[in-house]
Amino acid sequence: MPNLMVFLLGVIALAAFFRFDFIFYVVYIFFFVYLLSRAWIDAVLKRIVCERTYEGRALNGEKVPVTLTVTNRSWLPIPYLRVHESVPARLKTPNFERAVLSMSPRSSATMHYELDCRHRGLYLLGPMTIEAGDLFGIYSEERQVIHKHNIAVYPRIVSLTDLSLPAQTPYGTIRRKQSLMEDPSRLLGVRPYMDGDSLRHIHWKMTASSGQLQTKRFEPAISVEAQIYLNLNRADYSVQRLATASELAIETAASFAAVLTQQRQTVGISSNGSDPLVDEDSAINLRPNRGAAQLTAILDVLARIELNEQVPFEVILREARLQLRWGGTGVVVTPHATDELVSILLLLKRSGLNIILILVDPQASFAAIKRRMEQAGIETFEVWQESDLNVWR
Amino acid sequence: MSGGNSTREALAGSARPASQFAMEEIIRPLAIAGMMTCIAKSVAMFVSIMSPNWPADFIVILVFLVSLESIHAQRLLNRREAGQRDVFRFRFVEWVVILLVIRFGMYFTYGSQRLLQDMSDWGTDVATFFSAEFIMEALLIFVFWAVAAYLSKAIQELESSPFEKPPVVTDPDFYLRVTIPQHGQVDRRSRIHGITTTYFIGGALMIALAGLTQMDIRNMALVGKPATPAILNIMLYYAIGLLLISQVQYTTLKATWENQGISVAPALGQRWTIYVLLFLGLVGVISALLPVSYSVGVISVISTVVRWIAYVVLNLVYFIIAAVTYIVMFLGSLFKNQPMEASVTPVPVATPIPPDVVGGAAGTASWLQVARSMIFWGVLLAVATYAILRFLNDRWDLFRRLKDLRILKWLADLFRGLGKGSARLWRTLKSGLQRQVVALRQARRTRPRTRRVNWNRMTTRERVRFLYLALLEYAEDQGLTRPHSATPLEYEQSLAASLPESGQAAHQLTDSFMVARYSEHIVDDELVAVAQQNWRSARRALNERKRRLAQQKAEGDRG
Repeated sequence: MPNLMVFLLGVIALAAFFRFDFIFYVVYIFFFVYLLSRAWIDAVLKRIVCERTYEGRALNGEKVPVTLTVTNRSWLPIPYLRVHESVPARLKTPNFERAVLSMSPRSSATMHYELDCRHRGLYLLGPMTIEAGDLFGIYSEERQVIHKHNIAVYPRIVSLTDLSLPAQTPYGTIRRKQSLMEDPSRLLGVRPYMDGDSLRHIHWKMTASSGQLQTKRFEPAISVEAQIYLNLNRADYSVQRLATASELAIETAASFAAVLTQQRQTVGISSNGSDPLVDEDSAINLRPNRGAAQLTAILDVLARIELNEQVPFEVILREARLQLRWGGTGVVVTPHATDELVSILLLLKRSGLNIILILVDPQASFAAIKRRMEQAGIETFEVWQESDLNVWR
Repeated sequence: MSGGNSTREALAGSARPASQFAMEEIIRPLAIAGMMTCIAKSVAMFVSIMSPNWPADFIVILVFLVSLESIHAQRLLNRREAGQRDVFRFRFVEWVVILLVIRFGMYFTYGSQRLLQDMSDWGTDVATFFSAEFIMEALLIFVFWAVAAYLSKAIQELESSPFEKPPVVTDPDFYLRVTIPQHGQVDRRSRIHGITTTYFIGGALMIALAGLTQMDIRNMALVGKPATPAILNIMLYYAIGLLLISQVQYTTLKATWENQGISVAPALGQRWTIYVLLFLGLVGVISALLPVSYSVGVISVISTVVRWIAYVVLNLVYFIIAAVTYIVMFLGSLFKNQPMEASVTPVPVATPIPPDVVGGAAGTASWLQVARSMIFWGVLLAVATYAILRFLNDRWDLFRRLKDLRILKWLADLFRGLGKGSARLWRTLKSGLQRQVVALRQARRTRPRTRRVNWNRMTTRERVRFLYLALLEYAEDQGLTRPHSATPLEYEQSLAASLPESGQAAHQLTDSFMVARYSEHIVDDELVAVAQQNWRSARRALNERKRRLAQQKAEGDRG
């Protein structure tokens, strides 16, 4: 109410001139309208509780429902409650969800909206703010009730089935029975003894307890680990294809991780990209492991990962020998193959590792690079666009 | 203007939720009209002091109705998007009807005698139709009509407009829309400011009028405190005003939300009104519980300060006026070459000769007067008929909607049912009453008539007359009926002949009656006491006569 104070002073002066004491009732009314309005809104806003419910991880292309619950725990109603939820523009258009609620005492209301997760990344939902005001336009207050929450959208995963890769690579179902290829340090379990089994592999304790000969089972040593090396050094990408190629590289890495996990292989990832949840600009390194949890961990990293300029990719590759055992496979996803990179790959190859090179932004003739790498026995692929992944479908 | 538009209005009306419709079409107009009525009541109280015969109650009721009409007309014109010519015709019709209501409505207060007298004057002199009182009342009503329309329009402009929403680039009117001043955005702040300022000015005016009502203007001194109705009127105004302010706030918020595309809870509008009423009730109760008597000291101090300030300001104004007048006179004297002190002796104005009495000799009106009278009444009737018919036609949709209101239908059914029931009841009662009336008439003939009178409430003159009339009735019951042609003195003689023993009492009572009835002499308590004494004597004599006659009759029967 504009001019309220001027009016009150004028009325008091007028009443004083005429010696009216009943004017105090008018003053009381306006005073209490002002005071109670403020107290009402303050009291109610303190007792508003909001909750955001959603799934924190989403596959690319998935629609994630979000539920906002607003609860009025006060014994007073709210004239109006304006709810504003900020949403990342890449997940929803328009980039907010708003509503005006009218809440009775001790009641709750829900709002629903959907996130259209079409872009990989780590997004922040919120903050959610509420605004309440009185009935006369005297007082209104806005408060932030829910802070930002994360949602990770995984990169697109292309289903790779037909992996026409070198035979010594661990892709595909590997059934090797040669004892020489089994690692006696990795006990997998026991099974009943069969003719031809080595006596050295008999599990005597189990034999004694079961009354039958039991033979130890070992993990086949041919099932070597695979490590994906992802180059996200901004300087290595061309300016024109920085966004496209980097996303393509991440997508490729995710697709390889998914297919390897599906084939029950051990897989890990190393990258020089930065993780927004980690303060330090250190390299990302997930040791090879198997199972759905490992895939989730890899996809979480790939959902969050961003371009970086601090760690050169060559440093990551030089550490590969320490991470992979002999016979392991290194899937190198990088925009371009520089001479230094090639020399490191050759070194890794000579160390007994299988190397697959995938270029997403070759800045020189890909044919020349491929020819050069094939001479060293390194399979090289170019993924210029998503359809290029079809070679593995 | 009413064909296709009425359909559109009906559609627009039906699209709104019931709570919103009630808020826009009922609560807001009633609140605005209520505020106007409160101010009108204060004005009426003030004017009634100066002119007690002024039709204050009629004006107050008329202000309420005219305010409602003003709001309805404003909304109607806005919905119809009428052209300038239509608006002019609409307003003309509206004001003709209002003026007719003012002109003829005031005779509810003045009475039909004055209406007939004024009507005879209008025929002879058209100018008397537009009397000063009528013009002043019309101007007063016009002010309230205009303020109500302003408030209604301001609130309506706070509502969301389709032009406020940003146009789509592919919209054919995109260029037109983006080149609208302020991009079609309504300056709501200025509207709210205007509404609250009007509210506050109205409140201050009411307090000032209440003060002036209690003020001796000649001595510039307060002679009392405002009456309770005046205080309640002011408090009611502030309460209704706050209700209206809350509606303004709701309308503003709703428009803002609609422009931003925010979904609003459907129950908000209905709850808003309930919350406002509860809130104001709570504030009213708290305020009523708080004392104000101890604050008189405070208000006295403030009053002294304010009066001193007013005194200083007034003296300052007087001084400035005197200085300016002196300078102007001095400059004037320079041009006229006259001394400044030269004063002009005022010449008394001769008393005007009273005009000749007209009309006494005009028993035979000239043909010109008859023609003028006929023209006046013809024009008046034509204009009134046209205006009333157009007025009703313009608002036909409102009447139709009112007819369709559920509560009115319910009331109609109720009244219909009550009518049937009451008809049956009336028939039963009528037959019973008729029987009772017949019985009562028979009983009245046989029993002495009684009259409900309150001796204490009667004046001394009425008491004397009452005693004499009682004597007449008493005598009539005993066969000594007064002939209609007999004067009191003549009847006194016949009564004295029948009642020789109380002839003196009958004579004195008749004298007392003639003094009370036909003279302007003071009738004091002593005369009443004498009349009472005479009445008792006459009654005793009448009773004695009755007993005597009864004995004679009994003896005659036995003999």
